[in-house]
Amino acid sequence: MIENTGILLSIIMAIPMLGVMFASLAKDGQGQTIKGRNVLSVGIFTVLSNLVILWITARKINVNGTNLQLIEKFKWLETPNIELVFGIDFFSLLLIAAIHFAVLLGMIGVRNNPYRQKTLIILSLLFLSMITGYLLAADIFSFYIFFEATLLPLFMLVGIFGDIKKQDILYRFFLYNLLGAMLLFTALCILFDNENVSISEISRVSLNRHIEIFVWGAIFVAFLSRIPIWPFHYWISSVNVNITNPLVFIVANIMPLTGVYGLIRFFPLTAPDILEPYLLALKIISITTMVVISLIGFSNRDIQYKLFSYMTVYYILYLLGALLPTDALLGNIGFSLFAYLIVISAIEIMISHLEKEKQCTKVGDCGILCNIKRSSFVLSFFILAAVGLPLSSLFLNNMLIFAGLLSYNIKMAAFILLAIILSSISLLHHLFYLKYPQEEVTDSKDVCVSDISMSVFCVLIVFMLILIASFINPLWFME
Amino acid sequence: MPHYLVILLLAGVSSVFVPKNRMIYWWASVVIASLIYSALFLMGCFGSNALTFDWQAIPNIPIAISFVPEYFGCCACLGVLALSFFAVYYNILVTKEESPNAMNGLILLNCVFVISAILSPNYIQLLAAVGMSDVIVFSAINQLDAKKQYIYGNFFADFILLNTFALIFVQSDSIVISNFGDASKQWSHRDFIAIMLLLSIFIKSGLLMFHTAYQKMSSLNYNRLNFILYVTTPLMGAIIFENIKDVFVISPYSYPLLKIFSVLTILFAALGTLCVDNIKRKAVYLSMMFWGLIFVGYAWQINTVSPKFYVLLLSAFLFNNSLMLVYKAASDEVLISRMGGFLKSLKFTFFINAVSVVLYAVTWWIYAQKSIPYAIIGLFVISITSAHVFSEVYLSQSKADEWVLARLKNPLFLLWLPIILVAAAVIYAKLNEWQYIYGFAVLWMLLFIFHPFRKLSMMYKYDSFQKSDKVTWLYNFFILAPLKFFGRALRLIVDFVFIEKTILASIKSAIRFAVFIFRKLHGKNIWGYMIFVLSAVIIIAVAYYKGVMQ
Repeated sequence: MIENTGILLSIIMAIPMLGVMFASLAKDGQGQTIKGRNVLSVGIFTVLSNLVILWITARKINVNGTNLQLIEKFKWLETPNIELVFGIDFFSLLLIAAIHFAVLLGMIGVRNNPYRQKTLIILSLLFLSMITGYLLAADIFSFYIFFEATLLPLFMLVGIFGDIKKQDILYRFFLYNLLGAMLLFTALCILFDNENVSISEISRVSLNRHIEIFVWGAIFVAFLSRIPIWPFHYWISSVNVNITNPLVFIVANIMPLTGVYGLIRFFPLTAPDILEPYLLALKIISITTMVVISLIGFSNRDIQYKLFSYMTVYYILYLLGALLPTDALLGNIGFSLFAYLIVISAIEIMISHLEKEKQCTKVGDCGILCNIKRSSFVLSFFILAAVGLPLSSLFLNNMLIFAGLLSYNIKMAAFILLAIILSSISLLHHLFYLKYPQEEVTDSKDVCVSDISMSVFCVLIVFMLILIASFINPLWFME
Repeated sequence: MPHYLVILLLAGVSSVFVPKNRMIYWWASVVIASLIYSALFLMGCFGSNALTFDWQAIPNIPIAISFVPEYFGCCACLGVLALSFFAVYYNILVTKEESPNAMNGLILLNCVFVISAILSPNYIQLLAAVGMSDVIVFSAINQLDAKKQYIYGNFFADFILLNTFALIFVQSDSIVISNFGDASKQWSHRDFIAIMLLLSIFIKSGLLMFHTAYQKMSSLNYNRLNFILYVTTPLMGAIIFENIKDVFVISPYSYPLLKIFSVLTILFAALGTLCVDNIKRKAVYLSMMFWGLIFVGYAWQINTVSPKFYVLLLSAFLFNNSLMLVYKAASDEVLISRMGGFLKSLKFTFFINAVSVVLYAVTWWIYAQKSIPYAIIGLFVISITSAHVFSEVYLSQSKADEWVLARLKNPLFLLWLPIILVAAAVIYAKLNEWQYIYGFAVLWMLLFIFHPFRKLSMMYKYDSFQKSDKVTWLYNFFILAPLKFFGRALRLIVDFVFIEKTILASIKSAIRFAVFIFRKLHGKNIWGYMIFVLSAVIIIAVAYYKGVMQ
């Protein structure tokens, strides 16, 4: 690791916590007019401030560096020897920035939410702080703490903002994540061995053969429990399908990223050879999951499930890309994930807007976009970007990931591509379903459906420009 | 990017975002000025190295994008600019376009990406240009069914293209198209690569089985329809083929496949032109036939890259626009079955139509004359279809209602002026080659007068035939329906039966059972006490035994 001193990383983690503090002191907009949205303003300001700090950080780090940079160490305990270490590389930075943009979009999506907005914003900022810490963690101890800490705000968000089936969802959420947490805890306890170990040095810890298989297997399952890979997809799909609050949906959908990131950090170059057969098994299960979920999404009418299916397919694609025996693709995965999280968040807030309008006007959503041009334009743009047309960095960076997968195993890659086509077509299909006035809804023009406001439209245009900039030059913010 | 493309891009974007009908002529003059400037610039900058740039689209791969116009590239770009000019011209001056400013902007933007595709030295630039052009055309189609079919097909085509290039990239480690030639012989999966590339090209050019999106466009405004049929995605298909044609020699299947599809396309399109009642659908079939003819040339490797192609393309575009004259003269009547006997009232329109056919035939001859059979087949197909259509309109018994007949009048000179001008220019430039099409003229006149396929007009009565869309039905029945069925079955089996009713239900039951047992053991019962003590004794015994053994 490159030793460096500074407090930028601490600031990046601390700002959302400061936001939590200010938000808890701010007036809640509940029961007031929309103008009294102090909490939301605090939330948005916090995220924007952190984005500025991230931009400053980006200019300080070496884009091509493979090691963690701007290392910060904190001595916590002498016995046992625990030193918390944080560091950043360009991949983590891209993910943190994308998550910030996604949460920002989510906050814009809940600007008119009258129900417990203060709680919503506080928990979202708490989640932001935890996941930022997770992406910056460079040792197994802080990694584990933040890995588990991300669950707490999400558990509360689902509990508070879930719909009538939330008890069932929380049960699944708890069950699957408990399994992951226990396994990771046990594995890291074995790896800890009286001294904190940095993630990059894990493979150097000497273990006997059986313990090694157990440890890596436990890490494996722990991270998989966060990714919608069969059979773990079930809790995530339940959360996705049953949550209509866009911010909670976005936060819930960032959760699989923690699993993907964990596997990316632990596995590609540090995994011992003994795991090779298990990695093959993982790849087979992953691809089967991709195909199954995309088929289910293709036949499902619910847009939330379609979105979940799309996200699952892409998360697994990035995971498989990262598991290839090369780290050359890591940058491309980062650039793709950056655009992907923004695109998904924007689609979700648009879907949520349409869902709200559907409930207010009590008409079906078929053809709902006919008379709301701004929404139609924005949703079309983001869905076209999502399916991989040249409107964001997804387009060319995905091509390199596909290239890697095709060179590794063309038959496996063919199934992956099939899953991607199916999930993309199901998104396109829903777009046309929303646009197409069916004959039975003949009076859809008479129903007054509200379009997104001009200010939200402008914000979304800015996000479109960010995506286009990321297509023209993924390092646009470094220029 | 070279400044002429930047100017086109800026003019295009600003025109798209100008409110619908504001300052139409002013914006149109900006658009036309940018086209003229680009044409003048292109004519004066052959081989300029200043037009090569580094593109940072993928940080780990250096991409040199180039807009260097060699002789052919320059002619091709000029051809595209001319086509765009005429599209803008018709858009502004003659048709009732909904939002002319936006349409002009889209024409310019499309022009930028078509030029980028023509000049692309590497497939990243080609892919980006093709994809962007798709987005532009998607925006230009203002009919939902057509939009849907178009984007499904072209998303699929782009995805195939992207992944096939990805497969090429991992094997050749180069993105430069000119390196394909020799390197391609060392690739693995050669058949797969060639077939996938061809599939993508077929979809883009709307060959048989992939033509439904274009068929659905027949409800579009006439000028918009013609623009899409000749200057956008189908042209992109041909450009892709031209750029990567060296790849197709790697597979023994590629040229036979190309031959089969192109010939079937011509036959199907010719039959469609003869049997379909709607004049706009006829226009779509005529364009399909045109692309079929072009691909027949590629399939038999008759045609080489030449500027003549763009002159032919312009003629075909104007020929299709000449059909619009009939449509306009008949008060926007689209059904041929409600026309007939127009010759008496529309002599001048007939003259313009005949000029457009001659222009089309001459340029076809010039383009295809390297292979006489190919040229003759083309002339034959063009003459049969065009003579049939115009014979139906001008000579057959009148079926038009009185209102249409009373309002028949020759169109404004602005409508036919481009046809006359281009025909005059072609005749002037290729005066010595006129003699070859006398035969064609005679054949055409015979077909026009005797109308040998008049029996086919009975097909106009069959609504089921006129409105049928068997290809979409086939896709739905053989691809979409099984996929949906599998999806639903999997959801039922995987999510509901296996996870919900088996795994989760078992865990719930196990927890319930454990709670039940512990509750029993904790009850005021001597057996519970005994079991607790006994299990403790067993654990101690096992631990002791294990310890002793070790």
